[in-house]
Formats: sequence, C-alpha cells, structure tokens
Amino acid sequence: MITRWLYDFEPLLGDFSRLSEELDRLFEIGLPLSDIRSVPRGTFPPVNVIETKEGVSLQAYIPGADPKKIEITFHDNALTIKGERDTTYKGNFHRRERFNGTFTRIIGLPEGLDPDKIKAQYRDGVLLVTIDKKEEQKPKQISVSVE
Amino acid sequence: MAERTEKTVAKKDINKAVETAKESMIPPVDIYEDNDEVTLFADLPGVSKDSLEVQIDKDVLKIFGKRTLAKETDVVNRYEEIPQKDFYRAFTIGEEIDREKITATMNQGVLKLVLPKCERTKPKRIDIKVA
Repeated sequence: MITRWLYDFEPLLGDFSRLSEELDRLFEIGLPLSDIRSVPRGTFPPVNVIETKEGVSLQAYIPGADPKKIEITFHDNALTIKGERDTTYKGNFHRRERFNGTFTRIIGLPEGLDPDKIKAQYRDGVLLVTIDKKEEQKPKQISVSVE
Repeated sequence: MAERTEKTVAKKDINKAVETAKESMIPPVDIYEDNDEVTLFADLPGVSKDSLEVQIDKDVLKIFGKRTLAKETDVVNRYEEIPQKDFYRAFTIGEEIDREKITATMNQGVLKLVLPKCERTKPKRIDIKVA
C-alpha cells in the first residue's frame, strides 16, 4: 500500500510520483544488502524514531485508528505494533489512497532499553511510544574534585 | 490571445501552489461520491482541530494542516519516514457543490469533508406518463 505523503510535491505530480515510487521499489528489491528488518518505502504505518540521552521515542502515524485495537509488544529490543483500521465508506469512490486493513510493524531499537519503562499514548492520530534507557546506559556526569 | 492570457494566469497559480507545496507533504485521501454529496477523507496525523485550515478560493478547495513539529536538540534520528513538514493539498471543485453547506470534522488525525451538491444539480427521476 502506498502512502503518498512520503513524497514531496512536484509539478505534474500524480503519474510521475507514482512512476518514481515504482522505480524505487524496483531498485529496492534489487539492493544487494539491506537490514533484515527494513521495509519498503510507503509501508503503513510510517514511523519516526529519535534517541535522546534519556531514552528512545517512537512516533507511529496511524490516523483514525481505534486505540483499543492497537497492540504494542516489546521483546529483545524489537517493538511490535499491530492494529487495524477500517476506512471503507458508502458510495462510489474516485480515489482510495489511504491504507485500509490490518497492519504489523516490527521496529528494531537500540540496545540497553528498560522494558519496564515503556509509555504509550495516542493523540491526533499519532501513537507515541517512549522507552527509557536502563540507568547504567544513561550518560553520567563526573564531577572533578579539587584537592 | 484571450486564451493565452488565461494560460499564463493558470501557470502562475500552479507555480504558487508548487511553492506552497514544496515545503509540505501531500496527505493521502479517499474521495467518495453519491447522488447527494462528495465526501473526502484525508490522513493528517499530528494535526489537531485548531491547526487545520480548510479554504475555498473560487473553485479551489485547499487543505492546510500544520503539525506541531518537534524541535528537540541533542537527539539522534534513528528513523525518519515522515519528514518534519506540514500538510497541503488542493482540489478543484465544480459549480454543483454547495459552498455554503460544506462541513469539516476532524477525528484522531482524519479529516472528513462533506461537500453537498446543490439541489438543482442532483439527478432527478422523471416520471413517464402514459398518454
């Protein structure tokens, strides 16, 4: 399923951006080396992950989902997000670009995260998951004493 | 000549739209239509009711969605599948849409726009009388 928002606007967009997506896909399939957990561009839901000194924060863009139907598990530094959303509507359609159905994404995260310190919240269609680093992984400031 | 002027104007409009859009992302949409109305759904994750703007400019329907972008420093980006940009998308609409009756609702990052058709443009069933 293609999520169009990943691509910048270009004049004469539609067909050309579709063509470029197809080319990307073609080349991606042919890449000799890729990460075992990497996914093709446009996989739903798109995810941003940032790492800070305190931990990791992940944003999954899942607009219009029922938070009760989103399932999050964390095991061996991999975070799994499962869910579904139903975008079907009455009448005939002109366009159906939005993702419809069930989805699963497994995102590999850095080492040293504390599985007991996971928080998840859903707001404006964005699922925000924060995981703290284990205490020993956090950077420490060492004060210098003067003799 | 008249045709040429029209084309230049249209090009200017397109250029302007391109300028706005270069700084933004195109949200995916679903568009449905039945006899009474056209309904549009747009995925605008991270956009709240207050940061959304829907405009009708003559025959162009414009959707602007401002995202609250994180400007954190001292962070490492591990994945970035969605760039830190706002949403923008526009559609031309016809005369048959009743501008006054358009409604917009926002629910968990999904915009629903209902564009009702004018009464006179709705398809009518014509009774055939037997003479």
